[in-house]
Amino acid sequence: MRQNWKDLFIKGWLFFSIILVIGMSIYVMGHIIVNGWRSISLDFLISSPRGMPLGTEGGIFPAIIGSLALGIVSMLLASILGIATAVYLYQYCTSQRIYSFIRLVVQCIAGIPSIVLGLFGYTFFVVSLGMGHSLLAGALTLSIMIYPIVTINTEKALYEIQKEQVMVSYSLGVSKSYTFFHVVWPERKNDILSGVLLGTVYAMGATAPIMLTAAVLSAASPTSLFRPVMALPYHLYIMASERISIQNAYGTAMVLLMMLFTAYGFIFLLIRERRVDKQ
Amino acid sequence: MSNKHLEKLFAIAVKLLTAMAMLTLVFIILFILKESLVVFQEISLIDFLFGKEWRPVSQNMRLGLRPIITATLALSGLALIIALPISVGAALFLSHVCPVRLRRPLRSFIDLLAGIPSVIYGFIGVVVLLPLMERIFDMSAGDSLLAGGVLLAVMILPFIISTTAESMEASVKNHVMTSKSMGVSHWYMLRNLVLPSSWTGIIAGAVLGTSRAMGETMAVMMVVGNSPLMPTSLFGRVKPIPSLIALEIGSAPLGSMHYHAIFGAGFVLLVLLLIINMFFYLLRKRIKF
Repeated sequence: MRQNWKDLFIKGWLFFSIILVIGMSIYVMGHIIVNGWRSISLDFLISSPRGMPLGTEGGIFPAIIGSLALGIVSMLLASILGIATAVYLYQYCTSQRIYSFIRLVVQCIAGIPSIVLGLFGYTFFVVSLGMGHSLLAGALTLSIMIYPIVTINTEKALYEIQKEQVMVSYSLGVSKSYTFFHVVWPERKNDILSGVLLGTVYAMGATAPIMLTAAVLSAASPTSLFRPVMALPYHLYIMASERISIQNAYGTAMVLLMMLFTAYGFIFLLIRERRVDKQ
Repeated sequence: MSNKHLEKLFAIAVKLLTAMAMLTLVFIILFILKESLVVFQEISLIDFLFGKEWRPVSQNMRLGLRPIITATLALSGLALIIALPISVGAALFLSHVCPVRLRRPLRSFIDLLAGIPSVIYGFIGVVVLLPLMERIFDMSAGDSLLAGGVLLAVMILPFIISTTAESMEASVKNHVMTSKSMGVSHWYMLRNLVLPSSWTGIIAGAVLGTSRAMGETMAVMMVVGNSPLMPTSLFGRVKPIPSLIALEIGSAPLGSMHYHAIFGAGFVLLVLLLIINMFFYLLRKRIKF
């Protein structure tokens, strides 16, 4: 009888926890989607913020473009460096010491909170190098933040490849670059791309690094790397914390969420395609 | 011939880019260290860490981090206390009770939560949590340590759940076999076999969650009120290290004492994170042997 009571307690605890987690998540997303949907209009999506204080009227077009620009530039920087590092580790690195050193550095950077990277970006890029608040300074900071994600995911993708496949290629006298482009890349491209995309999504949602380096309350759509930009997360932060316009904040949050979900959809498809291939 | 060129070019590009990345990253680490250590030449480490007041801009400047560090620890501690029982329950459910068909979609859904940017959680905090707190506790403004703790708890749930569930799933088969042959109930097995044996996974999740919580900036900043006061009650306003950095660096002139103190605070945050991760590393090492 006492045993039964304990069983019941465990059962209750488990169901309570999972229902709470799922319920809360649905509430969070639903709240934003329902309220965001109401405040979105075509005008909101394609016009610039207006009104006094700025942002009470008008839309968020420059912020959407700004976020995309930040995402794309930081993705380019981080994926060039990150994929190169992973390929180096996989195909070229022969010294255990160098391997551990690189892993250690990557882990270190991954462990630094984004606000401290923002602090670095602010003092180094914005002030010391004189870039000012700019798309470039923000994208550089973001690329440092997502570099570990790209590197670790790419490395993981590369190591999942059958060792024999690469060995056979090498033993036939095929060069490393040819092996990479014709054996490794076709096999693992979806996983590498999904890793890169994961990093990009993370960069586009991040606020702390860009609030000190790139984002401003109002700017035109980005035309130059050296001008400040608007960005969705920063715009949302200002709208909500200064209580400028809660309605427009809902709209901004909804657009940001939808952009990220679209990217997650792509990631999902990329990974699933591979699973289907394998079967 | 052109193939050989391509091979060389590829090798050089890969090596050069890797070297570039490493140089940059090492530079960043050294830069942060160098800028933060300056403050300790002016203020003793003890005064900086345990000084009671943080007044960087008043005539009579005080740079004591005690209220700030306490707030950081209190916030992440509170978040962990709230999140841990729920995450362990949810992880147990996912790994042992959930029908297999539902498991993957639920796990993906929870991973999706981890991908929602913190500013959106902060926004939810402002429009849902703060008014709720004002109503329940009859406060004039909901901004408080408690609000920050609750919001952080929600944010770290998915991280703790996936780490914990992963380690639990790894050992499912052993337990099911044993307990089926012993004829004990499923719930008995969870309580007496699974739970005790998965505590490393639980601690791993807790460590990951705490590290997340400590470095979290936006969401926390939007709901804690940001006054550098000693946290004395759950309803007081506090200012943890990330908020301090985000809100004060813009107004601190480069090279000033305030500026170096902010870097110093960032350094303290890194050391706190390092301590937590070291603790976990040692723990795991001890268990392995």
